[in-house]
Amino acid sequence: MDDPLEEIDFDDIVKHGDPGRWKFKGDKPGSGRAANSPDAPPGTLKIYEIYENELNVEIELHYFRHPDGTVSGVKVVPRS
Amino acid sequence: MRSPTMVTTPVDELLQRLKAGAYDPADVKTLESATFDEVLAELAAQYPVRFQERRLKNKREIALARSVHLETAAPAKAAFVTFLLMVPVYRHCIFLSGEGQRITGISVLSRMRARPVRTPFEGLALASGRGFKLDHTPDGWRLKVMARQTVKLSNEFLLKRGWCFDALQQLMPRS
Repeated sequence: MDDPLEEIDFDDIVKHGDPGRWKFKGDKPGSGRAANSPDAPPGTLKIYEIYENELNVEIELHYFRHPDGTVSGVKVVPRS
Repeated sequence: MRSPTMVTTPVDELLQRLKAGAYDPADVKTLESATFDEVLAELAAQYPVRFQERRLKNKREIALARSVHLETAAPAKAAFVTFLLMVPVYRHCIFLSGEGQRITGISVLSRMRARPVRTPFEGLALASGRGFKLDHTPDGWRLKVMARQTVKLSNEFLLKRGWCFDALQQLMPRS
């Protein structure tokens, strides 16, 4: 199973610190729904997770989890 | 400095808008129609300093700067000797990310300074200026503000994430 934290873009590392030191705060409501993107293989889920970064600021991590356990589209999004 | 007679490309125009915190629907088309290698080749001509690069399975990312200079940092305190610490500052930074040849994000930061630290680990304190990112999230493209920030990253982590510790060699005098 891929770890999405390994795929954080470096520019987001520069703003939020080492993801290995973030604190997982739980899934955001709506996480785990089927992805509707035409590029997503059947069974792909859209995941929304909440983390507290190294600077004690809450952020969200959005990504696709594919049926084979791989991830793609991993992005840091401001907390909303 | 670009001559007024030089033709601007869609990527040039995208970067100009992004630096001002804006983007046009045409910018999304530019990013979706160009390959990662095409955009990288264009950027590399104007941003020749490569200070981070990583490939992880299908994921690609690269960080470029227009220039790198040395600045003095706060002098280290020592009992008998006072000396100045020179640290690199990368100016006009571009961060490009992708999956395969598909571009998934591009950001601009005004500058980034890398100062060595010894606590809580041996590494670098990266102090980055303000910027903006055009990011392809699972819910579509969005513009993101990148605030001024300083983070400490260990050398081990930086190596794993593709930091180019040898990027400063171009500052060294050639023999």
